[in-house]
Amino acid sequence: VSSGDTEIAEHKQAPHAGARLSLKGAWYLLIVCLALLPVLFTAIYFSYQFKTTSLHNAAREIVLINEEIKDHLEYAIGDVQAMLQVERSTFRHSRQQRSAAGTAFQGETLAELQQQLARRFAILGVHEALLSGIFLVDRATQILALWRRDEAPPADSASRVAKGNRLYIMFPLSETDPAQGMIWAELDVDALWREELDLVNQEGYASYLLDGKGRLLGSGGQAGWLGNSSLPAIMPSQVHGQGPAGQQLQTFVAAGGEMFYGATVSVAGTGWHVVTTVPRQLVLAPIYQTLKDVLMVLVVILLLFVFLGMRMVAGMLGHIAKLLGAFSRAARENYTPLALSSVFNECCQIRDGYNHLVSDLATREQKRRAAEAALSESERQYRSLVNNIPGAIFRSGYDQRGEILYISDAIEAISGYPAQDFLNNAVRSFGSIIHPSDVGLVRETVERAIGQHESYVVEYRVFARDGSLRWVYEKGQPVFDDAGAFLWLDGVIFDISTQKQAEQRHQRLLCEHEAIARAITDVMFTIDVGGELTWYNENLKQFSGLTPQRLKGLPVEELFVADRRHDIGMMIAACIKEGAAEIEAEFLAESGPSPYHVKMVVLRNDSGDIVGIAGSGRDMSHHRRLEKQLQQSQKMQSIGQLTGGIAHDFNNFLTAIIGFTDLARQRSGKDGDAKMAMYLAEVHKAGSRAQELVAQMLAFSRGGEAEAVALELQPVLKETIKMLSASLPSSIELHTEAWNVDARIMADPVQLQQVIMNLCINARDAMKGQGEVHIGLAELHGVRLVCSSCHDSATGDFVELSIRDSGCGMRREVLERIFEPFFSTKATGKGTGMGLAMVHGILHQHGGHIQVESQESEGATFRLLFPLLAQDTVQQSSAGTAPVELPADEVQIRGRVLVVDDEPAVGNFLAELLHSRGCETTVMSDSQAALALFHRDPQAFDLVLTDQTMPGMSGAELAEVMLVLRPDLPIILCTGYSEQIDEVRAKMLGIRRYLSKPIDVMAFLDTVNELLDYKVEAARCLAG
Amino acid sequence: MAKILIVDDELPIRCMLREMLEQDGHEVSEAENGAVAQHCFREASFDLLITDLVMPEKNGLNLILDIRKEWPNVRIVAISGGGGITGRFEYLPIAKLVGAASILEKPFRKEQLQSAVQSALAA
Repeated sequence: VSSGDTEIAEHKQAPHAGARLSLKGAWYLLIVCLALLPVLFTAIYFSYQFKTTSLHNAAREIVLINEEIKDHLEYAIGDVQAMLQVERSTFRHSRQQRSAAGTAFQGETLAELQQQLARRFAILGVHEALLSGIFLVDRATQILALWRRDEAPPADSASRVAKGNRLYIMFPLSETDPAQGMIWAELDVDALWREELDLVNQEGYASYLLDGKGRLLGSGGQAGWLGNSSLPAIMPSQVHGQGPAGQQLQTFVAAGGEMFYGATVSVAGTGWHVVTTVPRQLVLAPIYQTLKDVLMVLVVILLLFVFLGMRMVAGMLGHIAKLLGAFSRAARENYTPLALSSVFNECCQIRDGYNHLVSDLATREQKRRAAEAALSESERQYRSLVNNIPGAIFRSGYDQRGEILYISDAIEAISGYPAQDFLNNAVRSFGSIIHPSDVGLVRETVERAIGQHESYVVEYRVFARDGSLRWVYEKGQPVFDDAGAFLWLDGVIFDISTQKQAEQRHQRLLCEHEAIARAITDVMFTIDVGGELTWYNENLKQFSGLTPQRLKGLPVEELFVADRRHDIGMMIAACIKEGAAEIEAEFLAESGPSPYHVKMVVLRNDSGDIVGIAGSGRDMSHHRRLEKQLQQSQKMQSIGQLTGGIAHDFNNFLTAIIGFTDLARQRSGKDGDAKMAMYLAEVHKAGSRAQELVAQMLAFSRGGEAEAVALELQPVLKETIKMLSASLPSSIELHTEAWNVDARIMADPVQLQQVIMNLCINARDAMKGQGEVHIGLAELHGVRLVCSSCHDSATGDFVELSIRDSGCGMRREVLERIFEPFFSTKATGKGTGMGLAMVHGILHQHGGHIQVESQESEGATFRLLFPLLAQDTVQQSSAGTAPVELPADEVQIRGRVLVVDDEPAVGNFLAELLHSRGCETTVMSDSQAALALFHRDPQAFDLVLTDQTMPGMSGAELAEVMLVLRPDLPIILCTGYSEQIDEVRAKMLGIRRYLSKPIDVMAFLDTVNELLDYKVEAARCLAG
Repeated sequence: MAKILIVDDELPIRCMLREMLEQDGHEVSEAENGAVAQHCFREASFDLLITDLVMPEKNGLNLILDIRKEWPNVRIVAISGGGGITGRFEYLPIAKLVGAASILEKPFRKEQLQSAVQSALAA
């Protein structure tokens, strides 16, 4: 499979490797080339041969013409020369004769001579036409005699020099004596040439006669190209080699570019040249024609050859194409045998080989498919198995790259990244998603496992794709080859985030549970269904005082007093039955039995089965004590209110009773009725006693009228003791302990004396005439106490005035009620029951408290605790500036009040009123300025009192903004007449109270007190 | 001798006060609450106002405030049996604060009344 893949790959890559010729194309090209080559060679051979032959023929023709013309010309000239020699001889002979005769040439003699010449020339025959004249000249070239065919001879001397179209041939008459003159013959060149032209009769051939200077003397034949050109213009451009008769064949180029072949020959004795030419075209035309014909034949042969070659190639390649098609089918897994019949043996052999091959391939393919199907099924089963495992199976190398060789798809569910990302670290390595803090642990674990050839387990955190941190559990096994070399790691990774979270939650719960058990003030425990302790908190151990050994397995009922153990047992049974139960029982604390509220609930396992009971116990003693204190406090408060209310009415009645009694006595006194006067005196007396009682009642409820001043207790005490001494029998010893207290308190000295007297009289009565009274004075700093009458807690610095007697003491029940008004243990008529109630009232009016300790038959101790006056207050007080603005004779209102009214008089009055009751007040006449002040510190005021109708911002608007700044702020809105706001709307805005003007001062004070009280209560609740 | 208006919701007390004051030669008028008293002041002029504090309709403190505003020359004596509707406050000191020349706690003797009236008139 691998090899086949490689071939296919190469096959596919072939088009990219470079363009390739098709076999058919190559064959066709070869055939064309093979056909063309002989044609080309043949053409070149024939053209060369033809050209050589043609040139040779042309050259021979030209040379023949040239030779003929030359011979002819030389012959003619030779004739003339011969004739001239004859004539010269004749003349000389004649002359010698004449000389002998003594006659010189005379005119008539010359005429004779001339005639002779004419005759002789006429004899010449053929040359007659040529010879145009004969002259005899002397040595001064003076013509002596002439014969002319048509015209006179030239005037200048004759020589054998051709001139124009005339040729002159000269001979000296005497070979020895030139002075005897010469004989000239004048030849007509044109006539001579005309005779030559007959020789040039070949088509296209032309001959030219040129003199020694190249001038054209004549031309003929198919000429015309030279015209009157001079010789240099027709100089040959190319020499083609030596022709026949030693003449060179040359190429001439005409002025128009036309080319000619030609040859030149010299005419002896004249300096003339004969040139014969033939046009190149004329010479080569037959060659071209022949070549054309030959090429035509060759092309026909070539086409035939190509056609046949191609047919043969097509026949051969058709088989190859079929074979290729068969291979292509085989590549597509179509293994049909190839049906091919060919005349070529090789094709049949290929066909047979192919058929054998595909048959073999078909068999193999069948086997491969079967194997693939089996493999696919196996892989499917494997994947099914792997994917059903809740973890990701992996195989990885362990080197620096930590490459993952395989990892199952489940890793995507764990990490959010697809498995392909990790394979061979394609996108990321698995190590890259491990939490940096855990990388070291993982590495160390795996390296150790590899080193020790053992499996490993490691838990660590990985960063999932969504950024979350997951806990995973990895179990792996290093795999080694036979030689012990490490190959890879096989393992599985599970997502244990949920378990880990549960574990952490469990751990946190355990920690919380332990912390709660330590932080809680109750005792806590668990017991089994048999009631034995299985767990307990530190409080249980501490409060019970039992050792862990003792507590282990201790029946829980043994923690309680003996007579409640049965109830505890019943409680356990009820708890198992109902699921929960609670009871109050006395716990056996180390310090003694203490009331405990015990609650138990059952503990169940996952199946819902009861496996134990969890319980807690809360010490209720403090709670009970507080409850009692509260009840007591509430009782005292309600009695005080009741008493105050009654006192008012009583005073009204008494006013009338006493007043009218006075008037009646006045009138009866005038009338002199003694009995009536006595009766009225009794009425008056009873009224006065009732008045005192009411005063005491008021003193209890409010403390009565007081003129508090800063004073030292010591002198007041001494004075009081002096007064007391008179009313105490001598059997009662009055002890004053060492007083070293000079601290001051704020008190009314008269009321103070009243209190001391009252307590001492009570002590006297309790001792039944004999005993001791100790009066002590002490300064206490930073004490915390609970008042025995109001039951409030108080902390601070106090001056303690203690009065201890050795009387009969009090029972607990009595002790609890002694401060109640009208409660008395004395015989009827002996006491009003208002004494200690008044003490309570006065003490609390002074901001003090009272503590009582007493047991039956063991006397009683009353401790009066007055707040210690601060040093600066003492100084202020001693300077004589009494705190007029804080009359101590009233119930005080504590709080910081902001008063807002645009009329300063009203605002100041209200502020003054509140200030007189103890409030801190701030007055603002501008509502916006008030808001600004409030905005700076909304917590600076406990109450806001505002007018409604104000410029700028109304009271309601102001209240609305303030409530946004501080929703719990109590606000009182005062308004005279308002269409804008009524009480309901004010309430909707969150305004607590709505007061109509004119303000009812009493209702106003009550309202302020109520709102500030409410605030104080709320603050307590919050603090609590 | 002075013209005195007595204000108290208790008829016996008004009668008693009238008796006591008339014995001393004062000219006395009565009103049962603050509202009636204010009406009386509009009808006639008075030198002295003796008023109880805790009353229905209009209480004594408000009456004092209004009288001080409208008739600043009138002297005022405030009387009260203490306590109040809620029993929380003692109003007599407040009455003094808002303008009463003298205060008198119920029950009182005739001498105490005489003393209070005199000191108020002398103030």
